[in-house]
Amino acid sequence: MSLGRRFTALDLTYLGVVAAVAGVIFALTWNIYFLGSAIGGPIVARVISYGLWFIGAPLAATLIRKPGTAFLGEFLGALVETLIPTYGAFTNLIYGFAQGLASEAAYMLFRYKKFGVLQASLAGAFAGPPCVALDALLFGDIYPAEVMVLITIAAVVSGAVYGAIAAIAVKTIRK
Amino acid sequence: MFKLRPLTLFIYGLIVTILAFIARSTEQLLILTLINSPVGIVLGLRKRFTALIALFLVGLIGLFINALIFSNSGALLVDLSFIAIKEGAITSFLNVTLRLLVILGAALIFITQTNARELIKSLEEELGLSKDIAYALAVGLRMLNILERDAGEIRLVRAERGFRKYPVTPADFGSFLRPLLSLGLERAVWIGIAAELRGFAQRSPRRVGLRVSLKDLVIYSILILQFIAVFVMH
Repeated sequence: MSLGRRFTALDLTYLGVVAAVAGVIFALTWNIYFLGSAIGGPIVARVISYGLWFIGAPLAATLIRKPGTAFLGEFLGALVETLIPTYGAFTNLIYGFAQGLASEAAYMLFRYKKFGVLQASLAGAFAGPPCVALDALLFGDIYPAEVMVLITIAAVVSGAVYGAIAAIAVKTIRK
Repeated sequence: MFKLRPLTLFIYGLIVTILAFIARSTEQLLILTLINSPVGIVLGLRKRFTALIALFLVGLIGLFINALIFSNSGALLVDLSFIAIKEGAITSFLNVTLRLLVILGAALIFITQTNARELIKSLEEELGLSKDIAYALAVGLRMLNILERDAGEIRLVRAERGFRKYPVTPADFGSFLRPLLSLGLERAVWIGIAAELRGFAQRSPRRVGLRVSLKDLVIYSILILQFIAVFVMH
């Protein structure tokens, strides 16, 4: 499949830069996650770190503003993180794929006509539930129901906040 | 030298990781661990991935606490005065630790034996990865070191100006991200223009199909054996 009809070399270079930025952020987020986990337990760890792991999608989509960029931003970021490598290793690819698809849905919902702060927030928020589901499925991070709800909310809120930050950062630069 | 193809190692690492998640019993995970982890850890220590291995060991503390809080059920094993450790906690901790050891081992085998640029080339030529994605990934990997240097400079400037060196709050993170992105995008403009001028749109990637050497066959055989081991013991 060639994306050439939709993406110029400049778009793809932007995508590469976003993947590198996201890869660096994703790799550093492991330290934040472990620190948060040690200080405040699973919910605090998710609030302060999960949104950073979802940031590739809103960054790429707000910058390039084309269909498919949210997915590619998140997935390529995860691929770069795998090659660095980090604690998550190949699992990053599985997470990147699922989170990228979920984030892409946020832009699809608006028929790819709007790439603002709201859409970026939603893109971050949408990546939360699949990430929590994968934690449970892959790592057996299954807690009592009320804790699971709080963890999902923490991931969604964190995703929304960092999604908005990513969009604001891109908009500031592009002014 | 026993040099392996990057694509073979990529497929190996990815499938072993998936197998680690499919495997549910301690016996299944133990087989995968014994095959992958010692090799991966030895290679990792040789190639200076000590920090990653150390991070793994630190993470085990959290895993044990997690197992104690949420899976401490079944027969009593150890009764300390302040906590009783039950069978469920140990089984849960052991399974997750073994799973992570398999993933770590597979990742270290892949990363220590692979050059990222060769991997991208191999993914494009043999697996038919889109040239656009291959290009974006190549740019990303090329920019990684430059961005890490930029991030270091931003931290330095932040410290000089009396801000926190490392971003802690979301606002800190925003002010850290903006210059990092700005520098990266500035470079991207010229890289993109140069690629376009050199005829990127017209470039058609060379496809050679999947090539398998004897060494690759050995790796695929080890993979199949692990596959059988996991499903026979299921």
